[in-house]
Amino acid sequence: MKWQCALIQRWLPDYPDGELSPFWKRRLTRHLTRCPACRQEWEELQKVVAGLQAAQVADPGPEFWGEFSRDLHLKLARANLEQEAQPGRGASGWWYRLPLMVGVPVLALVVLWVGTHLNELSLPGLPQAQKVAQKEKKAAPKPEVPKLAASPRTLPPEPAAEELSLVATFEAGDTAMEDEFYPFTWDLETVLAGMTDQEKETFLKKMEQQENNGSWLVGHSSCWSG
Amino acid sequence: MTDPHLVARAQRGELPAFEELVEKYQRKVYGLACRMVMDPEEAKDLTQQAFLQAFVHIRDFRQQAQFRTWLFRIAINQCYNYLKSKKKFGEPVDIQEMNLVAESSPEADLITSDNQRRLYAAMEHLPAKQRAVLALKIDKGLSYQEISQILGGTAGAARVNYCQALKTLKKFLQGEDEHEVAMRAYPKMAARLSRR
Repeated sequence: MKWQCALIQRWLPDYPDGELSPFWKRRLTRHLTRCPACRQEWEELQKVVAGLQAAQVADPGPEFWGEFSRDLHLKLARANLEQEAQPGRGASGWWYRLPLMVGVPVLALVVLWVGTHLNELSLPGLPQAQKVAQKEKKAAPKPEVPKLAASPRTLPPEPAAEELSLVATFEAGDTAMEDEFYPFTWDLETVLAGMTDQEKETFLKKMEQQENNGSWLVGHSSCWSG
Repeated sequence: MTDPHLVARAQRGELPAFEELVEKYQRKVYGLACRMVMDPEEAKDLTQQAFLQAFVHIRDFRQQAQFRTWLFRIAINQCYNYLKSKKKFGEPVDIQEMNLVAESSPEADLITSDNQRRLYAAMEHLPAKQRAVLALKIDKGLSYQEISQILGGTAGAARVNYCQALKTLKKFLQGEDEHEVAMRAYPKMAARLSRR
C-alpha cells in the first residue's frame, strides 16, 4: 500500500456524506477514480455501514411500551416518594442545611485566627528547649548598627531667634568668666572642684565683687534684650 | 412543549412532565441500549434504569447541555456497567433473541436477517466505546462533536473510533466469508470438523 493510500483510507468512512472538508472530499474523489484498491476498500466499508443501517432494532410494539410505561411509572413514583421523604431534597430543604451553611464559614474563620495567632500564644505543649531558645532570643541585645549618616529625624531642633542671639553673645564674649557665670547652665560646686585653693579664692572674690556690682546680670540682660 | 420547559417542570418535582420526556425519548434510549448490549430484555431494564437515574438526578442537571445528550450519557454509562459485569461473569449473548427489522419478501428477509445476525455477531468483538460510537453515529445520526459531548474526549477521537469500528467489522465479516469458502471447498473435512 502506498503512503498516499494509507492517508486516504483514514477518511474513507466519511466519504461522501460524512463530515469532510471540501478539500478532502475533492482529494478523495480524485483518488478513488484512479486507485482500484482504495475504491474496493471504500465499497466494502459502505456495505458494512449499509448492513448496520439495515440491522435496526424493530419497534417492540404497543404492548411492550405499555408494560414499559407501567413499570417505569411505578419506579418513578416510588423514587419521587423517597425524594420527598428525604429532608434535604424537598422545597424547604435549606432549613436542614442551614447549620452546615453557617458552621463551615465559622470553622474556617476559627482555623484562620488560630493560624495567625499561633506564634503569639504560649502553648503548654511546646518543648522546653524551644521555650528557652525563644527567651534567649528575646533577652539578647540587638547589635548596634553604626550610623553612617544622621537621619533628619535625629537632628536637634533649630533654636529660635532669641536663643540664636544668646549663642551669638556667648561666642563673641571676650572673657571666659562670662561663660562661667551663666547661672542656668553652670553648677558652682562642679566649677570649684577642678580648681586649686588659690584659684578658688580668686574666683570667689571675683564673683562676690561682680555680684555686688550686678555686672553679670547687666551683661546677661543686655544679651536677653538684644 | 420544549425540552427545557419540561426539564424545568420536572426539576420542580412534577412527575407528569418527566413522563412526557420519557415518552419522547424511550425509543431512542431503548435502541441505543439494544445496540450496546444486544439483548432486548436487558436493554429494557437498562432503559428503565437510565430514566430512573435521570429522574433522581434531574435537579443536578443545569441545562448547560441538551437533555438528550445528558440522557444518552446516563444510558451509555448504564450499558458500560452492564457490559463490565457481563464480562466479569462471562454470560453468553444469544443473538437469536434480537428482534430486527423485517424485509418485504421472505427470501430477502432470510438473507438479510442472516447478514444482520452475522453483523451482530461481529459487533460482539468491538469494545464498548466503539459500539457506542457506531450506535450514536449510524442510528441516531449524531455528529462527531455531539458524540464527543456524550462519550467524552474530542471529536477527532470519536471519528477515529468510528473508523476503527467499521474496519474491525469489515475484517470479521470478511474472515467469516473466507471461512465459509474454505469449508465449501473441502466438504468431507468440514463434516468431520463439525462432528468433532
